[in-house]
Amino acid sequence: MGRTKKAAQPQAAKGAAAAAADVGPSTSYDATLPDNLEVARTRVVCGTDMNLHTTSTIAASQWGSLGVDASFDMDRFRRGFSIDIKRYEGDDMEFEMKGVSCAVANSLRRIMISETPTMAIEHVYIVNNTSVIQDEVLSHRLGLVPLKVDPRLFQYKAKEDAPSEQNTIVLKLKVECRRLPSGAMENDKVYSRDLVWLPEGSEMPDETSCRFASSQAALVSGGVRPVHDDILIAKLRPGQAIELECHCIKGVGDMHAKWSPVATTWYRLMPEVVLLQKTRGQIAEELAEQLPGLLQLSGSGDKAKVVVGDVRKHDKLLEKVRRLSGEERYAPYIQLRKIKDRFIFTIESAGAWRPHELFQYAVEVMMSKCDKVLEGLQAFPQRSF
Amino acid sequence: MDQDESAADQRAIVLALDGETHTLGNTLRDVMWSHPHIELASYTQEHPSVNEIILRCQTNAAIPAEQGVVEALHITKAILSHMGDTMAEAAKRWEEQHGGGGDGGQRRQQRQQRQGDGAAAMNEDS
Repeated sequence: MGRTKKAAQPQAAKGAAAAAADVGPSTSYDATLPDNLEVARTRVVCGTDMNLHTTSTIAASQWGSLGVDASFDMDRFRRGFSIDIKRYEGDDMEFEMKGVSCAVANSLRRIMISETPTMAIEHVYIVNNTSVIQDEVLSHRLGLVPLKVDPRLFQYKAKEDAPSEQNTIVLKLKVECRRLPSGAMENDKVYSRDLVWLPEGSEMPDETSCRFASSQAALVSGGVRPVHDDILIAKLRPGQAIELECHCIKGVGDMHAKWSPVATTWYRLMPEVVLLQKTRGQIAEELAEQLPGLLQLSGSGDKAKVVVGDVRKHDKLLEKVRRLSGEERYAPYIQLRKIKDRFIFTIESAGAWRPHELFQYAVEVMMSKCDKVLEGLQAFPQRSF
Repeated sequence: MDQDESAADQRAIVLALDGETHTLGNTLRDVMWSHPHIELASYTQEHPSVNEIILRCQTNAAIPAEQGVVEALHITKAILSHMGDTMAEAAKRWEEQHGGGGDGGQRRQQRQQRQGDGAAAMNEDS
């Protein structure tokens, strides 16, 4: 595909470069990069023992000697950047993000995991625990129960702050297992649905020093409950009881994983399968047999041809492509690459945040980090180029 | 700033950013390299137990290094702002196309429970 570009007129080359550059990372071109450098700039070449061209940081003057200016261009970035949501079911979102560097994607991933707040049980005041689950084990389990409440309605609580309706949520768990006259057992399993929200605050304010000035009922319109009703917290036998009060505060994943708003979030680079040269005849048939669906065969015998099909649909065959590209017979024909600035990003929320709001919040956190550094530096004009 | 500082001194700067990690460091470094007047950009976390990064920037004579860092920060903010807006639009497009299909898992669970209880299935979707 790329072979004819070099011989083209400058105008046509610029057009082709513009078309190619809209597909690749944000850069400006006066001249075009030769094909091999374009591949190195935009693709990770996946080999059997090592991957090539894995860095994505480009210096503005890197190809100055070739007449190519790789400095940042906001317009080109805007044109090249896109987000396309592929799947959004409840708390899970998968989207394709194009046109941004790996560093930014990673920063947002890190922020979503460890610097976005949620509410979680922190202090457990145990009135009675005659179950076989030890106090600390029970408390640990309670801390990990995800709560469906918007943390932005609350303030952080420092150690020295008094618990109040602004920074604390109170939940109560009171379960006793007993044997019914019919012989059946009641409450032998304690589930997360047994946690009851107390909008008025603690029922033992003297012990917990938690006094609400007003009810939280107006503040939290939907009420506070665990994201899942069916999390098993403890098992009881007749006569055993658990009575405790949980105080929840706002925190971030950095402090303790219970506060992480995501089950997890991750991204991978968009894969690409490339036929390095015209693949005809027997080689075509062999490859199509090895990679059914990923390579689409047409014709037969000497006239057989293959074309690369949908890479996303045949994910499981990609590592096979990598293996085949290392074999002597197929190495000249097929190659697995990853596109450096296209991400298949998945956000699995634990339930307190909507996934797309998590992403937007992470963007805000990152911007406030930049602001914090800007505060400490002199003011300069925003752009000198 | 010291008036007697020669232009050469202003071409390099070393910043210690307390409370920052690879989260800011790597992105800022990446954006700094794409600045045409920045000759060198690097960051390091000297020790994982110390929550601080050291950021280095060196520019050609066109601008002082501090200005390079400031401009890179503004570019980073511009990139992020555009990303946030694009995500908001994408989510809105999805809701329009799939009629509020992105509701929280809890509502789905509530609906299942209600149906499981034998109650009449009600269409609650907006």
